[in-house]
Amino acid sequence: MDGLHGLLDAVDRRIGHRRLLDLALKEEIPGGASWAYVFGSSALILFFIQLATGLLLATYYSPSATDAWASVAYLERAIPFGAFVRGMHHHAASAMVIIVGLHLLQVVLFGAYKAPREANWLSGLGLLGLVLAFALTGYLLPWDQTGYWATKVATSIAGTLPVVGDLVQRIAQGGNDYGHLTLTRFYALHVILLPLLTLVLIGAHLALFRRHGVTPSPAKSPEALSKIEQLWPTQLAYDAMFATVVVAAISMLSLTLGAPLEAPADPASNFIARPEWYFLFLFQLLKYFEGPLQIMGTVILPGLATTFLLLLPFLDSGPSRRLRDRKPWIAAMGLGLVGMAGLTALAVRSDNRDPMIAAQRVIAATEAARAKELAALGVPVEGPTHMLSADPLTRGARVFRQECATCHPLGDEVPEEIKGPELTGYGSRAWIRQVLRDPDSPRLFGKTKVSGMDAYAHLSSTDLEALVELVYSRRVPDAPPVEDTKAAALVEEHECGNCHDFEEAFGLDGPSLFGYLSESWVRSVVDQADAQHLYDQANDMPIFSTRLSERDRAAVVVFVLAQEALTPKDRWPSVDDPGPVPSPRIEPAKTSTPSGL
Amino acid sequence: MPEDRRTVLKVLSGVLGTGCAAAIGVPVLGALTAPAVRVTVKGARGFVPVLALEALPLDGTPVGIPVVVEAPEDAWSRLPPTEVGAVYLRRLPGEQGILAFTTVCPHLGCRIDYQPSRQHFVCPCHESVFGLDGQVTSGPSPRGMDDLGTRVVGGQIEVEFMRFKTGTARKVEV
Ligand code: FES
Repeated sequence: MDGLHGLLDAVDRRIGHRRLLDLALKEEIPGGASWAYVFGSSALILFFIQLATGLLLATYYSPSATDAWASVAYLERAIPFGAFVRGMHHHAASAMVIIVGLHLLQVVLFGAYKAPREANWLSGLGLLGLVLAFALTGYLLPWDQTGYWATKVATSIAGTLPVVGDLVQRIAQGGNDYGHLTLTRFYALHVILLPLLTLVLIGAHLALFRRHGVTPSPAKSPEALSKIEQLWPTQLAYDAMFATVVVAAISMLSLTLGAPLEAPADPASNFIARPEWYFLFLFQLLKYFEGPLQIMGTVILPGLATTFLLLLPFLDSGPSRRLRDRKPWIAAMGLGLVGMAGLTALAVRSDNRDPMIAAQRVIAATEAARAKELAALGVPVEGPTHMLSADPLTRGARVFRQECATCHPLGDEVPEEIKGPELTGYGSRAWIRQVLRDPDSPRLFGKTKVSGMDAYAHLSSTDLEALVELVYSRRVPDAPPVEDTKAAALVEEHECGNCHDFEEAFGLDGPSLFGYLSESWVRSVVDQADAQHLYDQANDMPIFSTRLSERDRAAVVVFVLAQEALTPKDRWPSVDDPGPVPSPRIEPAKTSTPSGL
Repeated sequence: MPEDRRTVLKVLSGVLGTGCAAAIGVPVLGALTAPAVRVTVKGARGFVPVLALEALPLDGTPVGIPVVVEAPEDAWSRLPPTEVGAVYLRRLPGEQGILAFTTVCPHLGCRIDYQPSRQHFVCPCHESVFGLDGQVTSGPSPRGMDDLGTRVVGGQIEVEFMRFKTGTARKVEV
């Protein structure tokens, strides 16, 4: 023990660390430690968490339009703790906004911005601005749909500024449109410039805090204030306890939710842009000002609020820190807060009520999941946006939404006017069974000109299953001839062959079942459904061979045939289900089925 | 304030502080060091098909063939087919099999040429000369040409492509 002391003495004589430690820990707190003072230290700790997790993210991140998304997806997928660390960075950013907000509120309530602490207040507001700048620049970096579109809104707002707008926008986005240069400059801001500015301002903020000391609650009596406590250990223990709660909360969120990663940014898509939750009030504000008034929501109101905050110590310049002597200023702050909360709630509510948005969210989630699935096989050098749009399943879903969903119901998506058979579970045994039981059901061919087939709902389930199996097996190239199947006698008895050919496409009255539901059969329907061996005169479906590209037609076939695997088994009643025929349409469920749409 | 309460608070601060630091530090360090035990760049390793067996001359004449990796991967990227190097292939007499040499000179890494007229390999850089069996016959190369593992799968010759340290007498993979 003596040896250790001797050593520390020797070190202290050389570097003087004890004086520094004393300086740090023996800060005197008039009125003693308080839970009200914990926010500043937690904000500082969050900043260090962002430095550490951000450094890790930077070791995996590649700031280019073709690589950014893929590098983030790679970190999430392939690197142990990668998703967790990214989750920490994401949720610590949200926590930072909350903690800094609480810190600001505490300062306002205690009147801690008053002389001689105006500079503390201003440096604090500067730090708040930096927190928001970090959030804005960081949101774009994954180059996913949300980040891309929400940030576009932000830079477009900059573009509407009078006189300088165009120039500001071009400088911010690094050129005439979003691309590599947008990412490189947002990255440079986010990881170099903003952290440096923040370190400098934190230094100033802490130095000023130490110069003027804490501002105790205005409610404390003089004798309570005469009790002086040192920072160490009580206040620091409070700080540590609160910081632990914060770290535990963001760890939990990272473990359970992680950080979102939408599908890669696609400039050609119609993604609905929404900012992070703490910017929603500004986003909502934009909705209320039209045309030339737009500048009210983008510049004037936010500008007024900022100016109010900056001037607060000079407006509220009286000596008293008591709440009752500062009513107008406290009321103004309260009004601002209520306004922000109200606008945020309105934004959330209107989104949650909009069925369009709900549908968009399903599409977004499907495409994001598919993009990650594809990325696991390696992202081509053209980049993930190209990868996703070249994927037949995704491309097919997009073409289907555009061209087919206006007539064919699929999953929860029901067209305003149903004109074609429902394609939920298309090609599955359940779908075929339903066609056999009740072809003219309004869910199937009832709304088309195709008619004349008998309903076979009265067959025994063994017979029905034999027919289902027969029809189901037509798609394989070496399908056994009808005579060799269990359904041979049934086909004979019900004279199926009078209307349908099985061995070759002849052109009988009904559609050919030769290769029925194989890729080439479905493709021929997509290409030209009025072909003689298909629906012929009864066809109402557009001829897509002249309307869609080869690639799009092939993709839509892949998508339609994927419905068998994508549709939950209970979408069509099973054969054991004695339910009414025609079976009533199942009402769209609140939670959507993964129809791939 | 009583001394033991102060002690409790001090210990508590220490424990919580350490816990928070670990909650961040352990995952960050784990993720940071993960690539050390991972194959992040795939393609220039393992057996690569280079030539149909029947295309290899029966008389033992060496042929130079580029080694093309179909879809090399680099972390998140899948690259288009890429030439990662080249090999000399030669049929050994009888049923003795196939000999494969990398074209990289073991001296200092230039590309070795084959001279059909003199039936030997020559490195143009510092004139190392190698026999058909790969042994040095003259010049500064510290060792013979580096041979590679081969196998025949479905009529295709596959070569186990790899790189070696140059300038040393011993053949060491890098
Ligand atoms: S590199 Fe081949 S002889 Fe020097």
